[in-house]
Amino acid sequence: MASAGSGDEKAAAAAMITLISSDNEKFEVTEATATLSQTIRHMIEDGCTDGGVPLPNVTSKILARVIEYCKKHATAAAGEEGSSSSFSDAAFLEVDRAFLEELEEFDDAFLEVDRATLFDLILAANYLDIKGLLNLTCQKVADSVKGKTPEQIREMYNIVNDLTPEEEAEIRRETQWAFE
Amino acid sequence: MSSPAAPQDAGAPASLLIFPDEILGEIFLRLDSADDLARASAACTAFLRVARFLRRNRSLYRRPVVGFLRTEGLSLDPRLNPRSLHHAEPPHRAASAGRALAQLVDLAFSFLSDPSSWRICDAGYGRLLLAARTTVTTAGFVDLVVCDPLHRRYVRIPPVPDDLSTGAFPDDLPKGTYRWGRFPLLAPTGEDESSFGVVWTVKLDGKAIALVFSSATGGWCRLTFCGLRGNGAAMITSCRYYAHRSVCQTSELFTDVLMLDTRRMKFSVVRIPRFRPIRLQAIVEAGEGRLGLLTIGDGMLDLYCKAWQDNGAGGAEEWQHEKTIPLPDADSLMYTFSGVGAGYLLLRGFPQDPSELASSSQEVPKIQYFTLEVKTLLMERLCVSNKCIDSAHLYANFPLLSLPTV
Repeated sequence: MASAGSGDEKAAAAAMITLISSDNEKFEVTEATATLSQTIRHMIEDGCTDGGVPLPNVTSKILARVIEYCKKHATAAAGEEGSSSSFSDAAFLEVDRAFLEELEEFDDAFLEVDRATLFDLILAANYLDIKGLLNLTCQKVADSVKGKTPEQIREMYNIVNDLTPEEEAEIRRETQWAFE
Repeated sequence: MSSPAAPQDAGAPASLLIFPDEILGEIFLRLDSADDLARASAACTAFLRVARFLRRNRSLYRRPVVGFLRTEGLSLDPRLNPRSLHHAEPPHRAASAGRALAQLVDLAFSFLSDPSSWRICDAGYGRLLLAARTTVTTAGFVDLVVCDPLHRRYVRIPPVPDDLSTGAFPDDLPKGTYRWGRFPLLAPTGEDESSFGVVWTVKLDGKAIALVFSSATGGWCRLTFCGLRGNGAAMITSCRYYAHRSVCQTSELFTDVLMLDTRRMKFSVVRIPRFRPIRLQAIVEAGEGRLGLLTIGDGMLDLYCKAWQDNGAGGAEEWQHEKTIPLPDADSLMYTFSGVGAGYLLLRGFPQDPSELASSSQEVPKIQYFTLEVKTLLMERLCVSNKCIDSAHLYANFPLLSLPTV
């Protein structure tokens, strides 16, 4: 909305929020970054962010990553809002596309983490209700399951088969085509 | 692509089971094929529970058309002519699902007390609507059963209450003998696919009546439409077309089509253009509140669309021609519409040269069946058969990992 160019955070800089991780580390972020989380957005709306927002379910290690993601994507969101105002010439769209590509590269690099971190990011994205991050991380897990047999999935994700032989036979009977 | 067990933080690799069901659901939603969901569900009970939950609440994990069933008239005796699912064949993408399903469904209805006394009236969402061949209830409607032939289960539909069927018969015909001009249909009842509706449509002079049963409420209700023009009793309903949430009835003799929107429980009349020379027509729901009119002629298929008006006035808005697609092998095949359901039409391609057909009755099947997806006009060959089926119910959208549907 701001008439200033995208990327300029002068206006937003006024409102800063403090996030406190489970191990008591404090992170100062702009409101624009913090409100990518619906959970935090609601807390801000309810006026209960004075003295910092405690996030007892998120460690500092994970919170740092989450903030990294939100910062990048908050800039993207600001850029999109700017573009919807009056710019519509081809040059501007070109810049937009380059930025989206950059964002995609960022996302790909962001996902280069070990599995435990990926899972922690999913839990944090779910708790903080950050749609984009939840989508990104869940898609990564979903992609790893595609084309795999139940046995491969169990092995990959350390899952014990607790289905009874009867249940297993019934699933196979109903979904025979998926196993061919 | 799966991260090779790179340096794990400590101990055993993280298990997906640390996640609550809601997150497993988020992950499974992002599997884009039904096959992947099916395989994942066989890993453990938590996955199975989540997959079944998704199945109940999402229509994503459904197979499109896997095959079709012949429409059964009163005279067709399944004991002489065993039913079969005419299923998709390679290279169709539903071929393996179709073949598996054809072996699994019990189309002899051995789970019913008197299997041979029923005929298939409609199909949808894994359910079949069966009507009794003989027994006519006192209210003049035959007994109905909705069954799930995959799980071999059924429910009896309670009879239409007398007070609702008043006036649903011509005065000069004795009750209990009258069958003409009434059709039972299955109708989805909305977003929640665990419930279903059954509709009796009755056409009489100048009016139409719909008697609607909802499995959610367990009761019947009635809707009457009085603006039907022409001699209703003489109307020949050649096809019942419905896609998604609407039931439409059309006639080859009249250009006014009486439509029943089962979701909003509303009748309306839609005027369709006459074509000279006559072209075969089908009316379907085209999405986004629009109706589609498909016609076949000169080896081409044409799609016309218009808004589906609520006021029942019809006619004011003209049909807009949207697309023309050439039909495959149009110089050697004669096309007809054979069925409809779940956003698809079934087209039958009959050899133009009768000598070709003669030889086919022995060995080589020559009649081709195609599915046409209404939304995309994508036409795919479903199977080739030596059976000539005029009218069929598409077997589509059967639930995956289904809990029984009835």
